[in-house]
Amino acid sequence: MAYAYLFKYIIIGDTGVGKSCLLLQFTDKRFQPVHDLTIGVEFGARMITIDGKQIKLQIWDTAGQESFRSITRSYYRGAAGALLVYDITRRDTFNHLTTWLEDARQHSNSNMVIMLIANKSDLESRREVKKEEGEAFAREHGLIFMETSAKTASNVEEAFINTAKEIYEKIQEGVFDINNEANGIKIGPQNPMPGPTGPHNAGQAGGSCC
Amino acid sequence: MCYSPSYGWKRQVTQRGQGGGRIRKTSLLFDHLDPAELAEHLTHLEFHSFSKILFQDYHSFVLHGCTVGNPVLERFIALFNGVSQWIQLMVLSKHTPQQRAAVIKQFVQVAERLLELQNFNTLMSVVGGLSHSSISRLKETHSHVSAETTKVYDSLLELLTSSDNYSRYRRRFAFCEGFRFPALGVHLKDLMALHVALSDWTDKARGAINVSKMRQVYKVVRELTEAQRLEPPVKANHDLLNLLTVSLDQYRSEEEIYQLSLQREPRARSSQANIKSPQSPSPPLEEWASLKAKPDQTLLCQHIEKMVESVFRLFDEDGDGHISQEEFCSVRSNFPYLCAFDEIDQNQDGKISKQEMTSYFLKASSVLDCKMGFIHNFCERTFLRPVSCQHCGNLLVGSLVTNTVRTDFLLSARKDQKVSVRSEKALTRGGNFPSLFQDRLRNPHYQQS
Repeated sequence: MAYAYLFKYIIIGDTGVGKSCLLLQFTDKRFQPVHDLTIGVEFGARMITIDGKQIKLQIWDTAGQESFRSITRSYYRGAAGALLVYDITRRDTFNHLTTWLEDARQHSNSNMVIMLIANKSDLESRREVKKEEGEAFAREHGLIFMETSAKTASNVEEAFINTAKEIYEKIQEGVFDINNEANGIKIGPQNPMPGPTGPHNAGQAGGSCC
Repeated sequence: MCYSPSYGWKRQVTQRGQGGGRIRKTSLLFDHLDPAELAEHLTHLEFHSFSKILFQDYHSFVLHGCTVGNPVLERFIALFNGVSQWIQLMVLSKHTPQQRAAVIKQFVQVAERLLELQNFNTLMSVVGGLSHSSISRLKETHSHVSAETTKVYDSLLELLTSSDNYSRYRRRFAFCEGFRFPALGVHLKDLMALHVALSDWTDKARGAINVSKMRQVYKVVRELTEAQRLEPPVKANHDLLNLLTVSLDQYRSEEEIYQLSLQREPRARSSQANIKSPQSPSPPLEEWASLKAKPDQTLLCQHIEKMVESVFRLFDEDGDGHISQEEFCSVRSNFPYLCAFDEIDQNQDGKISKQEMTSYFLKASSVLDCKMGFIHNFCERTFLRPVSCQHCGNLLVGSLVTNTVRTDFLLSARKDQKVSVRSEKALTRGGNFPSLFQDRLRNPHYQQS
């Protein structure tokens, strides 16, 4: 498979905010968890196109491991983007954002792009956190913000793709050191020298999935 | 008296045989403790907790997505995190980079032994502790770690990498025979992924169950339950277990540990500028506290009782069930933060009973707001604004105020760092072992700062 770049993401937030569902929705249920557990194939991955370039998103879902603190710490390292998710019907998940954010900032590389996701926007009647509050929090902490519904798929694509765009822009600006894999960005295998001027091979890619 | 850092279990323990003869000596002095022995004891402790997990616990975890109402699994995870935190604290408790490097080396050896034992769970918590940013950021310390140790450590990191969904670990684990202790976090994640990704029914209206899902779930659960049945090939010294158990109950926040790390090796100027960007506010400590797991009181009681049993077994030399004044002296030299004999001896009969000692530690633990790690009763905090002492209400002002004190640590902090505390009165009362603290204040060495 050919891609210009590979971006690694993590999805974080309290348990039950719908992290896995977001991932499932985005990867179009192509997420096939366990063909063979011994080799592990359940990484959520999907190809997208930005600026005419194929970009592979590899997404790491922390669901089920949130409480194993020392394991989850290791995911921050090596991620270019993070989706920080809360549930609009549970205020406590919103209140914990500061802690998640601080945690992520402390353990990740400083350029990691973080997007704040207010999930379960389909449950308007049970809403406990106003959209404005989410927006204000995002503004205050320099995050991109979006309300999504993993159930109806509303804004899910946008959330993942906008994060990718932000990372891509940072690459163009030269903020990310793309030669250091620890930043969560990998240059496509057929593109030894991709740069802002455009890699010669990237265009040919058929865009096979995962 | 020596005020160098010491730990509760930093002592020689003698296990008595049935005939009263001394059959085996185990050093509980961390610096002298054999890494293999430590690995075996950690294995024993964690496996004990693992073997109690039932199918229902896995089921409830997957359904709720968390450990709510699931004390067995919660305890298991607390222990897992406790090991990681304890390792960080052990490294950070040392004052010089060389000493810290020596502790790192020792834990890498512990990790090697864990791998031999096929205990991937504890291995993951040890490696998780050593690779935590509070330790990995210590450049000076790492410059003293030998290339050989670094090589071993890197290979362990590589083995446990989350890349390709832990494929390296999985392959290795699949080949294990006999006792093997899976890294439970990885397998819980598999269960969770299966549960979310696949539906229970292929056709709910017709009552057709998704057999493929059931088969896959079964495979994961069977692997776990099989591993739970095989006892680890280790023998444990119960006194060491009891002391370790209490010292692993840390319940300390990541932030507190990180602050300690910053104190040991402050940030370089340039990176400091980075961190101070408006985008990374430091959350108030209270918020961290609210997220901290609270220890189970009943469990804490049990641990303290067991530890007191161990203390009595070792120090009650005449075996009369009480600790006399003389016996107390030997206890005290090993547990420097114990308060005065009279304070523990509540009924003032000149001897300390088990009950008196237990209630002393329980009281100390509640004063500490459940933070009693027994071994590491310190907590250094930088208050950005004036805070009042929770004990006497006086205002504490200072660039660094230590309100939960492990006295020897404070002592060193006051030696090494510039500490300004303007309310001596508040400080003397603010310690958790107040009388002892006054001792330290009287100590000329202490007063030098």
